[in-house]
Amino acid sequence: MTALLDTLEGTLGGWGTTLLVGFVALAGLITVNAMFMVWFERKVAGWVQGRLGPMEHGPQGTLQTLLDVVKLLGKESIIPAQVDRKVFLLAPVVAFLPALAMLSLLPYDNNLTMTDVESGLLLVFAFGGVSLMGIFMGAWSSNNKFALLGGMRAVSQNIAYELPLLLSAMAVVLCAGSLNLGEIVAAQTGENGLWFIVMQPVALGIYLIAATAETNRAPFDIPEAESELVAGFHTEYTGMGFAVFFLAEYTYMFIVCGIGATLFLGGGDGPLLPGPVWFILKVYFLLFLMVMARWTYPRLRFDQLMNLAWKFLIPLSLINLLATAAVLKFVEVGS
Amino acid sequence: MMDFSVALLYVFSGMAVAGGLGLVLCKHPIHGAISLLFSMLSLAGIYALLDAHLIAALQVIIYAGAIMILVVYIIMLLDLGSADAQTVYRKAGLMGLPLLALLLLLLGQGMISVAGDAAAPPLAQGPVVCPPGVACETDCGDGVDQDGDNMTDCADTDCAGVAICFGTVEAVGANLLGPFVLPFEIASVLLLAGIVGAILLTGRKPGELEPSVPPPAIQPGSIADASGSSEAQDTEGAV
Repeated sequence: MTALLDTLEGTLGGWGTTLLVGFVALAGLITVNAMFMVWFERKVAGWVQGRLGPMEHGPQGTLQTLLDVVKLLGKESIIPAQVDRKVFLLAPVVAFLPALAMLSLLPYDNNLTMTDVESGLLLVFAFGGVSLMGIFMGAWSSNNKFALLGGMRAVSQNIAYELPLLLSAMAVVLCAGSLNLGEIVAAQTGENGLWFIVMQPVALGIYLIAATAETNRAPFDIPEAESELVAGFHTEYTGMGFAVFFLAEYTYMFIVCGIGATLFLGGGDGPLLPGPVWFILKVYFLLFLMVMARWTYPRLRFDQLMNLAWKFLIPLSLINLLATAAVLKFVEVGS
Repeated sequence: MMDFSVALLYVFSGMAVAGGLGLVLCKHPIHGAISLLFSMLSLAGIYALLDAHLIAALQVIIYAGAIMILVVYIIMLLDLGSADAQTVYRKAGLMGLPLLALLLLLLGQGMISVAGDAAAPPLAQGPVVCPPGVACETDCGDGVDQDGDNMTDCADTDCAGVAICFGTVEAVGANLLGPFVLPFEIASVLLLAGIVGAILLTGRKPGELEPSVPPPAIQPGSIADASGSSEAQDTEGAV
C-alpha cells in the first residue's frame, strides 16, 4: 500500500495523488453508503413493523441492494418528448456533484481531510444550497405538474430549514471559536474537551430536525410525497437519471450526519478503535435516528412544516445562539 | 509548464465569461438563470484563487445558493417562460452595442495599465512593519497581543495584509466590525428598510383581521336576479 502510494506520488506529485486517491475513496464511500443504507433502512423498517425485511439474497438479505443496482443499471433511460432536454439531463449532475465536494471537506479523523479549508463548515452548507438548484432544475424541466409542485415544495422547505440548521451550527462555532471542521473536533477532544452534545443539547435537537428536513426525508418528505405527488421532483426520471438523484439523497444523509457527528459528537474521538471507525460509527448512529424518525412519525402537512420552521425552530435557535454568546462572554469576563 | 493555479484561473474566468454570455444570449429566462449560476460559481472559484476563502464561501452560499433560487422562483411565478415573454427586442440590443464598446475600451485600458506595472506585490510573510510612533501587532501568528488593544493575531486589523491572516474569517470580521462598522451597519439598515417595505406593500392593513375577499363576480347573462341568485339557479335547473 505504501509502495503504491510512493509510486503514485512519484508520477503525479503529492497534490495529484491526494486528488486521485481521495476521488476513488469518495466514489467508493458514496456507492457503499447508498447500498448499505437502502438495506439498513429496509431492515429497520421491518424491525419497527414486526417483520423480517429482505431475507432472500445473501445472509439477512445483504445482497438485495446489489441486485437492485444491477436491475437499475439495466433499465432504459426514458427522456419524455416534452421535457427541456438540456436542463433535464444536467439536473441530476448539478444535484449530485456538490455532494462530492462536501464529502471531500469532512474530517474523517484528526488529519484525514481531503481538503482542509479555513471555513470548511460554511463551504459544506454552501454546496448544499447548490444541490437544491439541481432538484429545482429537474423539477422544472420535467414539464410535469407533480414534479413542479414537488420542486417548489423542496425549495420553500429548504430555504426555511437552512436557517435553523445554520443557526444551530453557529452556536457550536461560537463554543469552538472556529469554522474549520478540524479545529471544531480539536476543541472537543483536548485536555478538558467535552463533546458539544453536553454544552449544546438544544442545538443538536434543532440540527437533527433541520437536517432531516434539508435532506427531504420523512416525516418532512413532502417534496416527494408519494401519496399526493407520485414521486415529486423525480417523477419523470428513469434509469440512471433516477439512480443519480437517489444516490445524491443518500449521500446528503451521510453528509449531514457526518457534520452532526463532527459538531456535536467529537468527530473521530473515542477509545480503543481508530478515529475513522469511530467517525463512521457515530455517523451511522445518527443515520439510525433519522431512519427511526421516518418509520415512527407520520408525514407533516405543508403548513405544519412551515409553522414548525418559522414559528418554532428559528426563534428557538436564535435564543440558543444568544444564550450561548451571553454565557461565553460571561465566562470570558469572569476568568 | 503553467502554474496550476494560473491554469485554474483561466478555466474559471472562461466559465464566468461563458456563463455571462449564456445569460444574455439564451432565449429562455430559465436557461439564462442557469448560465448565471455557473457564472457565479466560477466567480467563487476566482475568489478562492485570490486567497479570499471566506468571500468565496459566501459567494456560493448567498449568490449561487440563495439568490439564484429566488431568481428562478420569480421567473417561474411570473411565468416568464411563456411565448409572449420571449419577444426579442432588436432595437434594445442595438442600443447595447455602444455600451459594450465602452466597456471593452475601459477593460482594455485597465489591462494595459496593469500589464505595464510590475506584478502586484505578494502578501507579506514576515512581521508587520508599524508606522513610526504607533504600536501595532507585529507578529500575527504567536497568540500574543503585542500592542495591548485586546485584539490578538488575525483578529487585529494590523494583520489584515499578512499571508496567514488574509481573507480569513477573523481578519474579515475584525475589519467589518472595526474600521468599516459604520458602512456595515448602514447596509444592514438599508436591508431592514427593504424588509419593512415588502411587508408593508404585501401584508394586511392594520386593523384588518381577515384578508378581504371580493364578493363573487356575477357572470353577465347567466343569472338575471343577483339577490335571489341561488333560488333562480335552482328553478332553472328544475326547468
